[in-house]
Amino acid sequence: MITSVALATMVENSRIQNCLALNHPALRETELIKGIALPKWAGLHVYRSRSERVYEINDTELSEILREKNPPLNPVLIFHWSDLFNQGLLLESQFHLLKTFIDPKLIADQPHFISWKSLTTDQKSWVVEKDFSLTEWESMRGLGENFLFWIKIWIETRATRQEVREMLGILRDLTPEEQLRVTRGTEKPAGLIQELQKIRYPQATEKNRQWQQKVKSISWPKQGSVQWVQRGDLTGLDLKLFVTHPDQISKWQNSIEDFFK
Amino acid sequence: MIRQSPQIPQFEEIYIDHTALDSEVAKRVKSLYSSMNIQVTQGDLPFDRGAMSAQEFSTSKRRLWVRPFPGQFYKRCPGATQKKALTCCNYTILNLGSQCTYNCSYCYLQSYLNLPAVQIYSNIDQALHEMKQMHEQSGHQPFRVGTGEVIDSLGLDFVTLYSHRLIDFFRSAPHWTLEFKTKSDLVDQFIDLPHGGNVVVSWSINPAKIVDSEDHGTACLEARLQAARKVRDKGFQVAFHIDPMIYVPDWKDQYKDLVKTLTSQFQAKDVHVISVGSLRFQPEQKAMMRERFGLNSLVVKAETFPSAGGKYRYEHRLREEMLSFVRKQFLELGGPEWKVFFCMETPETWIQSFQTPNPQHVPGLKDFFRPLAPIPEAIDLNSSSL
Repeated sequence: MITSVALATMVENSRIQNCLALNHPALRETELIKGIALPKWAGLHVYRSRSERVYEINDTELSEILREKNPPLNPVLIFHWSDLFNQGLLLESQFHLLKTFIDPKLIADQPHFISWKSLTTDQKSWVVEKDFSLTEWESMRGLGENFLFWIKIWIETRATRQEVREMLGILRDLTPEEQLRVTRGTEKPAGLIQELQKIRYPQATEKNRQWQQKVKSISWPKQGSVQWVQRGDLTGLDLKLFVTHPDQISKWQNSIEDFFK
Repeated sequence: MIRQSPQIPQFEEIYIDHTALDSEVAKRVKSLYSSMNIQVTQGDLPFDRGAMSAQEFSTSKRRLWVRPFPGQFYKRCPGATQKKALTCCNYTILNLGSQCTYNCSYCYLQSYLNLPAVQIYSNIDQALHEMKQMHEQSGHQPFRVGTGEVIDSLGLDFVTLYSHRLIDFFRSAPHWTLEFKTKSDLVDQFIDLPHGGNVVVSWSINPAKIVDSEDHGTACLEARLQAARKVRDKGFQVAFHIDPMIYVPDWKDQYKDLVKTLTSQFQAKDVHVISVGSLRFQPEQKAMMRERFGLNSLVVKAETFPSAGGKYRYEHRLREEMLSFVRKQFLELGGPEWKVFFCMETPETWIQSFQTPNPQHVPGLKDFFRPLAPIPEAIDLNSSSL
């Protein structure tokens, strides 16, 4: 059974996250605790801590803490409560308390949790190696069942944590159907990001494509390069010039004026 | 059917600070919500402060808290603090409460407020005193004072009746203009009061379909326009803020119809000003909007990108096209006497539409943008009696 429970508060991105940390001798040895959970707790302020970071607590106290802190809690551990319960790691009364006091959307049988059990060993190792932040986990949980689709792609394409973060930033704004619209077999993460951007920003992508076509249709002076780019909310020409004589500037100016006509 | 805004908004919890119990507004709250268990508080409400979750933000709109405001009421509009990035119109603000009972998907309060309740400030006497102080120094200058920055000016006005005190004050401030900014249709509570002709009642509007999709809990477009016609007929000036313009595939048709409706129901002389702005929001607001309004909200799925000031905006060419389009419609359908300007926009956008980054060079807009005396950081509350 769970022998220790701690309610912890951490601040990430200036947002207070209430977390429920569970500790159990059986869990302690698992990769879940070693690889995922414990590093996440580093630097946390743990309520009611004694000599250890977690505090032994009985059901009544757990109940009091949960009432007092007015959840919804934001559990960061990637397992279903029901998994724990089914594996005999959680007392029925504790499971009941969690179900009573935690936002039902976050409890078992909902797709908001990523089930640790559903991951392959490679996937588990990848997750451990990337050491994702709370916010990144939140975004991954938001993928629901599509998480498994995406973790396969990330591993196949050897996406870096930064690239995964970038993709998650776009995926968050897409519907579950749109999240699956990428073409499988895309070799590189950069290509995937472009595909996702096309899905998320169809109009801007099309406009930029038209401008890029126009760049090709204009005759630009030699000794330089020109590209259509978007930087934030601004779009325009990115020019690299090599000038040996002031006259060359006026040639560039004429071409630019032609372009924007 | 016309969707109206509720005269007495519903709350689940009401709190009154013990120091506000004797105020007029607290007495009125007690009488209007007599069936509720109103709690008397000392100090802050017993809720966590700090960044709010989407759920907490929504819950805060269902609590009312009457208390005195401890700071300075009278301030410059936040746009004026970004003069390098934005072209701004010398607006000043008087906040007599904070948080709004309505639920517009794009509302900037989602990234601005972290208060556990809708607040009504009970010490309006102090607010009026601050204004009186400022008026003694700068009464001859054309200050525009708005009460709708962090709360809908009229959404709770039937409860507070603060419009009465303000309209009365502005009778003795003839060079100043008072602006009530609202998305409600709640005007009956002040419409018959004597006023100095310097009270503007303004509505934030959008095409009807966009209002229905994004402005939750507000009066619908037709109800707002009906209320505008009512106040116009009683000699109040009206103004409209077509802000934020929101992109939809047929945006040109929808916004053209909106301008047609305005120019057919109102004359330029009735309309103090039309301000136009495009969708913008702070990055941290994105997650909140997504959670509160879902992925189908026109605002959540808008193609917006980080801009120089940090806010997310439409790509600048689209933005310029949208703003210029509305301005052009007013010129074509209404005529040059309609005073149209852009709110919280960059000098580049102004150049595109007005051919100048300086609104003072645009006929009809000079008074809105000419430099005015600064507002002291702290107004001396003891130097004059009420």
